Amino acid sequence: MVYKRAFRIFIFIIIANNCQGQSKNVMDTAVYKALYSFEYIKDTNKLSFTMYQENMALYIGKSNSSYRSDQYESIAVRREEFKTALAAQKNAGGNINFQAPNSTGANPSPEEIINAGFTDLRIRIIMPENAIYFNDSTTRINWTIADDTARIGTFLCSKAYGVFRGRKYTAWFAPQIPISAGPWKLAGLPGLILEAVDSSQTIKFRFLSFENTSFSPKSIVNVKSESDKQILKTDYRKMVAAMASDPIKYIETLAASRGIKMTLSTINGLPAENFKRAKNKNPMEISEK
Amino acid sequence: MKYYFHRFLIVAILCLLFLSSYCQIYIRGQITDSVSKPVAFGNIILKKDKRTISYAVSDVQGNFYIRYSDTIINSKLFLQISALGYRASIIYITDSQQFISSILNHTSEKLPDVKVNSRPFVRSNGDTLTYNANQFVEKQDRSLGDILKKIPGIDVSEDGKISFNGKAISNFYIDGDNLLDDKYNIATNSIQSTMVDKIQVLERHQPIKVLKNITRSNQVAMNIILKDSARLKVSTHEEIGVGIPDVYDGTINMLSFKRKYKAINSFKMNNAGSDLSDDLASHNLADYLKRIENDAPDPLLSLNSIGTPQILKRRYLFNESQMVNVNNLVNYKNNSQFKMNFSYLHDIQQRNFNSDISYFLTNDSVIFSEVQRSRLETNQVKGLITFNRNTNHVYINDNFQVIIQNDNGKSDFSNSVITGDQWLTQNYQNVSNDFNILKVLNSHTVFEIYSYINYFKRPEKLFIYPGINPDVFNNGALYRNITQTVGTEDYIINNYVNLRSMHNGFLVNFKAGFLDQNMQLPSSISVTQNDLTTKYATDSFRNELKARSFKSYGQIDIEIPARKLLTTFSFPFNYQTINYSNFLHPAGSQITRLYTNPSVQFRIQTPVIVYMLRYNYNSNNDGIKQLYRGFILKNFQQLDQNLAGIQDHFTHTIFGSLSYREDIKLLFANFSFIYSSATNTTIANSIYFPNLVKTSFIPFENHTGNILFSTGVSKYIFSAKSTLAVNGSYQIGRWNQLQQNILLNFNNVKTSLSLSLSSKLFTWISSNYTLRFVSNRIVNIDNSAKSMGTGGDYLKNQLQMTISASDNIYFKLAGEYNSLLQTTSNKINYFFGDFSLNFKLVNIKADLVLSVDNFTNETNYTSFSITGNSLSRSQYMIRPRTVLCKLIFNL
Repeated sequence: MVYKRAFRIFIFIIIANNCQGQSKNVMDTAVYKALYSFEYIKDTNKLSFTMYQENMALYIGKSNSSYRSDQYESIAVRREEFKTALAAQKNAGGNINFQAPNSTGANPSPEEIINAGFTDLRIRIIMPENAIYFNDSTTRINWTIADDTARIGTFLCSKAYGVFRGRKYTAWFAPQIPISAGPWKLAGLPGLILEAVDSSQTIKFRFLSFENTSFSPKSIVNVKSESDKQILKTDYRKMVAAMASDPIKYIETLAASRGIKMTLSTINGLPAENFKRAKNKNPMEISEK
Repeated sequence: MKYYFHRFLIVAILCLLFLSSYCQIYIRGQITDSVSKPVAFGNIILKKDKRTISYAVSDVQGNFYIRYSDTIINSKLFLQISALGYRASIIYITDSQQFISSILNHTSEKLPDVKVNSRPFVRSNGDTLTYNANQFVEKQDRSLGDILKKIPGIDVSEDGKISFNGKAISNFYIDGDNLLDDKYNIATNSIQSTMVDKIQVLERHQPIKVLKNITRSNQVAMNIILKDSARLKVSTHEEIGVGIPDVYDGTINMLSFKRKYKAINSFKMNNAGSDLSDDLASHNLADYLKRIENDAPDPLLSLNSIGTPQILKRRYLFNESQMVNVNNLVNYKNNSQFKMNFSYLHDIQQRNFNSDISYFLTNDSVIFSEVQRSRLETNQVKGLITFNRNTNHVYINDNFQVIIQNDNGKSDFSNSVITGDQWLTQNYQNVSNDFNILKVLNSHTVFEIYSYINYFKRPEKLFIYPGINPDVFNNGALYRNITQTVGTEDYIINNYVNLRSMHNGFLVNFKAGFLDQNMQLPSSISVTQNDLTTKYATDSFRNELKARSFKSYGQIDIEIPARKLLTTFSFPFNYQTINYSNFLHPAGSQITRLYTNPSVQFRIQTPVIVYMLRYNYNSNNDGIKQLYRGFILKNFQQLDQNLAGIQDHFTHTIFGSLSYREDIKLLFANFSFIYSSATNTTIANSIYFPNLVKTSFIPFENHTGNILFSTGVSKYIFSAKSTLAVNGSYQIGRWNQLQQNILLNFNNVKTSLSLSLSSKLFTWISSNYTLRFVSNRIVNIDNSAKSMGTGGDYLKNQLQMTISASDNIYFKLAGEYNSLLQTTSNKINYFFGDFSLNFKLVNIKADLVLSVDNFTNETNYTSFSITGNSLSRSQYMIRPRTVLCKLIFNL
């Protein structure tokens, strides 16, 4: 497990090193924070349906929103630890001994989805040394608003249907919160989306809480960082695919290209092919449109 | 040419319609604040009454542009404009082309902090559906069973069997531990409603850990999660009740739900009509016996042959019962578990009834009338010891079970010919052991060894005084009494090995084993003359059956996944050798058969919907238990024999089902159909004598067919706080029957519909309404004029209201209205009323319940049943008005 984590973070070093471009920063102060429970059945072909769950926060500013894991800040802590371990290894020439800080539970997602000006989607991935980002092709969702209403928390919500990248979503939005944003890449309704479920019920965003955040330290939608590097969406996909097909070879090769000689072995002696990531059988985005 | 023109015209009109419907108009405008600064990202919603017509978001300059269809009439249109940090405003539209300038005022008001505190009714986590018990429980609910009845998607039948969306549960867990196997009625009755935190339904449940990644399961299980307070200490629960006329009801329960030690131990006694053997009912026994192919003979003798009425058991059961039921489970390290289930039941049941059974024969009809008063006393001891070890590498399970049962019955009877007494004695001893081991060979393969062994004997004796049917049993001379004895002895061994292997989702399963069954069935009828000399009746009433069946079997299963579709091919086959000899054929005979039972199944599943379609061909026989050639007097009106030897069946079955669930809406629906067509090599021939039916199985090829559609929908209606469930089924069956050597063809159409609505109208009143309608029609195809539309309708309406008068007092009123309509007789109606008053005695932490059952004081109940061209009318004595005062407390 430790190996798996280290490897996940390591792969981002390589991506970050290869990417080019200048940074274009988005900065805003969050006024509100909405918390969602993201529930996702990744593989519907499996023997049994198991669900991935993560609490995700949506930070809402005047003109931007940022959607990321509620444990997102813990990644920064781990990044520092990794940097230290790497520096020590460079000095000593020995093994990298990196221990993930939280030994229980899944890793927080390193992805941040920024809805800039409530129109453009930018995906930013946090990395050990810096962060990379790419602009996601924006597709406005053509929502149809139904007459149904429901109360979620104390908010009166309206129901809407829309298709986004091959999936049909049913969303509940609160016109009382006049922000055209929502969880993940779902947005564009005259009010904040509080709940959304896709028609196969394998993807769910459930509303947990809504709070004023003006004075809390989590009030920044995005930190201005000169080291953010832009890459192309297609390149990002290629890299993720290469990593998934043979992660061990991928790391070894790319580490070698950086001048680090590396041989990877697994802790509990499982064969290397166990770490090949199966192709996601139930991707969140089925088509480009 | 004309044709083309028409076509063109239609297309043109359609185009025009299409275009016109897509004509859109728009509203433009700008939002600014009080100092004329544009407001970006404001939300503009165009509404008419409460409907949203269209919407837009303002750009950085505050400009917006809303398009909408021109079919919307401009009157009553308005814009609702809002932006973060501004007070919302409303502007009415007078002209669609107008430019809207909206000035919003700043506000320092913040939106409220909101946290969704109320836990949802249900949460779905992949295969696990978790119901929050708090959302369904009400003050008057005493046990877990009361809560389960109200949960949408879950159905509890009258005998306590639980199903989810039409599928019976395979396992019942308490905090993850399987304390009771399928005998979970004691848990649903004993676990207090206040102890339950959550109720989980586990779909695609695989209880064996080594098989988790290697087989696909289709089973549904239930797990009850208790509150921490219920887990902390051993608790007790007592109920003591007395009443008139001469009734008592007492319960002592000891419950422990600690992590390491779980127990439900209880002592119960009553004469108030509550059947304690229900607590021991094994709901999946039939499936289990079928799976292990234990085709053991049933009891052959009985006092009477009439069925039970369709009303609640507690209305007609006259009993005197005591039961000790002990269930203990200890968890050890390494996922090992030791379990002991022991019960002793002493039960006396009395029944008074009269019945008329009419057989409509080709030329005339025969009516059997009888009046009986019977008393049956049962002593039963059951002990089950289980060891279980369930890890990721190995699974070991051993069940050792002993059952000893003794039944003594007596009844006096009278029919049109004779008045007499009969005595029945049955002794039953059964020992069995079920051993199962599964071991992981590598990450893809699991090897299994299974061994089952069972021995039982059941001596039975029926004594009837005075001698009945002298023409049949004593050459026409009157005689003193007649005795039928049967001594069944049966020994079964079933062993198999099984290899399962899975690669990339493809599953291959090989199974090979053998089953050896040895049975002895000696039986004889002896006749005592009036001078007290006893002799055996003629040889045709005697059996010395010795039979052995040896079956070697194999099975190959292949599962092929392709996206969402799962295809399963299964090919079981067996080679069976049967040797048997009887009293008149001591030399015996040998039969060998090869049976194949191939099947193919398609399944498509998503978290919302599951489709299934299966075809299978099944060839089998009724086994050796039916091989007795000599007559056996089953009760004083029924003589049976088998002249046909092995009874073979060849069946084609097509089964299809669909199950749908939408967790958030709490909507569950299922539909299924089953079609089967069978060829049978033997048939029963019934010959009627005055007050006696002789039934012989003879070789005669015949066909039976059956088609059944059934559907069920269950929904929670949030606005009305109600659970609504509707179930329906429609069945057509056709079969043959031989009567007086004449072949008859029958068609049977059965329709049933049930509806139940349980609602919490206000905090102080809740109600539960059930309606059930069953219609049964039987048509004799050859003689349709005579038995056209023989059948009956049955309608049951049940309403129960619970009203809280104050925090500590509530009362319950229940009414049950039954209506029976028989095509050949008048309509019969019954109304049963029950009432109870409940006081919470806060000072001593106890409940006092005063209940009046059957306050309308109905004294008897008539029911009808139809089979083929026989119609039976039975009238039962039912329990009179009863007043019971009960104290419920926890020590």
